[in-house]
Amino acid sequence: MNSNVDLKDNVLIVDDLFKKYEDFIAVNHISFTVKRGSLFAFLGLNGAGKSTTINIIAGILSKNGGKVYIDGVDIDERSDAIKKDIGIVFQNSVLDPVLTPRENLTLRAGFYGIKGEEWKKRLAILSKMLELDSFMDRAVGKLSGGQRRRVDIARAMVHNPKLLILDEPTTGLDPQTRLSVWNLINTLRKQTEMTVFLTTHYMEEAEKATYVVIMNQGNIIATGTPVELKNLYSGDYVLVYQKQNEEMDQLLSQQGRKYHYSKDGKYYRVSVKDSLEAISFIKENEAVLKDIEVEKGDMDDVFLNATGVREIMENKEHADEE
Amino acid sequence: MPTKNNGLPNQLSVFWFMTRRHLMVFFKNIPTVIFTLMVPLAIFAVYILFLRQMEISTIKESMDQMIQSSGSSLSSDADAYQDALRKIYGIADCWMISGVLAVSCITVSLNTNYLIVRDKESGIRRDFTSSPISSKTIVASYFVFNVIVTFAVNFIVYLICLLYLFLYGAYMISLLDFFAIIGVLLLSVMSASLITFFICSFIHTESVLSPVVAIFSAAIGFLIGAYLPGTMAPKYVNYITTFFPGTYSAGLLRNYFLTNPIIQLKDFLSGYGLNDVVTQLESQFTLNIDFFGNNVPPSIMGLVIFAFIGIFGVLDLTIASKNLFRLPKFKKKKKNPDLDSENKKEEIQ
Repeated sequence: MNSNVDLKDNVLIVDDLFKKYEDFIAVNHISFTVKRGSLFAFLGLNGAGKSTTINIIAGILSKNGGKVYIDGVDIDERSDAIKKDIGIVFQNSVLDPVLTPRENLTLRAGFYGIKGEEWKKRLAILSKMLELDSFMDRAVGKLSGGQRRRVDIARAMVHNPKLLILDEPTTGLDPQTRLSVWNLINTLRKQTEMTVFLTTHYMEEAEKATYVVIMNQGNIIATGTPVELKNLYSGDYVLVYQKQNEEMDQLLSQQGRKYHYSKDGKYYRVSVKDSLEAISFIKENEAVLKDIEVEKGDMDDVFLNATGVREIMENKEHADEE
Repeated sequence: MPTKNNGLPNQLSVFWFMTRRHLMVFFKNIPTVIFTLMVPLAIFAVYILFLRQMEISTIKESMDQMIQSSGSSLSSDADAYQDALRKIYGIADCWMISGVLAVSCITVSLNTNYLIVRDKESGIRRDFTSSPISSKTIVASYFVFNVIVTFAVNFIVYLICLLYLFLYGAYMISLLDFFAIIGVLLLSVMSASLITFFICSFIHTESVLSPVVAIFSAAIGFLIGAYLPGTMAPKYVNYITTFFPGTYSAGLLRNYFLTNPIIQLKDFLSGYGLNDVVTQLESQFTLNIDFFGNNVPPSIMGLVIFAFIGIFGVLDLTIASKNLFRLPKFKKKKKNPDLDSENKKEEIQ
């Protein structure tokens, strides 16, 4: 696991990490690596163990087992020293609401020994990169959600960390602000070549990552690039809009198609491997298909299929019908 | 980036930044600053408005009786009589002021620690924990912040009390006593800060801190024998008070506030053949602390405060290095994930 190649390529290595609270297992022996310079997404529902993992990596929580290496350094050996390599944006702002962004950031920079001229230069860079100028001297408590998030990100970057960890950075923001925060994270990564590790429960956000790990109930259930995951866990769908009838059911069954009739009584959802198979399915059944739509698989699909939630839902619907 | 201490940034510099942060957050919150100052002033006001009248009428009554029974010439000299009364009231006032200051060292310190608890509750502590700061630096910064605020508030209260004594025309303490009292205040504030920090390391929310502050504020004055002279309480209560460092602060403060005025009063009243009055006053407003039958002299009182500082200093650092108060255990994460996925399923449906 911990070979030289791994250390060079990966800024973060998590090996067999285990954490439990009394009798509840929060993180169940998970292992993953984060490549230098990547945008790594940790996807999962609330309570999946994402924040626990992040807090262990950041040295805030202790672990019950396993190893974590940041930039080749074992966090057990130098737990305090590695903290200067990490910047973390918490779910909730951890800045002082009565102080201004300038005061908050200057004080926090002092925690890393950055002061005087060095800090002035750094603050100017951060302020330009994150567009903080217009509200630099207004109390943080009086800023809008989006502005505050930008200051939070600036705080995590005061010391130019190798690894920027964001714990659900867009939760609770309106769609427009969410988009702008996302664009910002992407731009920052491109400009600074910093590794970004974020957690999210928004599937469409994970789609923009370079690598995705899906976590459920403390376990990693799928890993890969968004494309790989889609190929593995999702396909396309043909939605056939018509009332459910026996002939159609029979036809689909004869062709060996996997399908499901929607609960709201509007369409058949027929699974196909890809667009080509969708075309052949449509051509084959041209005579009976009147109103159709082809749906591309997305990260929602990946998540629902990987976690097995879709299967549970569809079985439940069938049981209800019967 | 200057690094020392096993890769950590220079912790002395980090310590100043942290202490500055605590002070800035505290002083930017104006209502908190005002109410912190109000706590000891309210106790003092309650004394002046209610307790004082009761106390001085008792003293006046017993003095009048003694004057009558001894046939002292003081009864015929109205000016001297008033002068004697003012001096005696001054002693009662100083006794109470010592108590108020001793109490306020503790209550102000506890109140100021709301910042520690709020930092834990709001998650700001996580920001510190995830930064390259040693736990000792965090403790030291909170301690120094608390000492600065508590001492500043007590110094202001001290000056206000002196102003009261001056306006009332009783007498002024000597310059030497003035500085000695500042020294005692600093010692008392340091021991109080370490003890309240210890208490607050077990408190994680402001909703818990508030009742703790209320209970302490109500009880501590009696527990350190600040409000009522020990002679008025049962012996076992007096013994209980000897286990609180505040008792020794109050004792030391009284020694500096009262020694000279009592000597002056003695000289004044002995001229009128009223030594008994002084003896009675001395026994009522005692400067001594009775530790299970042993009299504790002022030098030992000082040592006891130092001992408390040492003990709680070690305790606080031990708690910090063991990371016992790092986080209130992330209870939120303990919720049942099965329930969560159930909820999600319902949402999707």
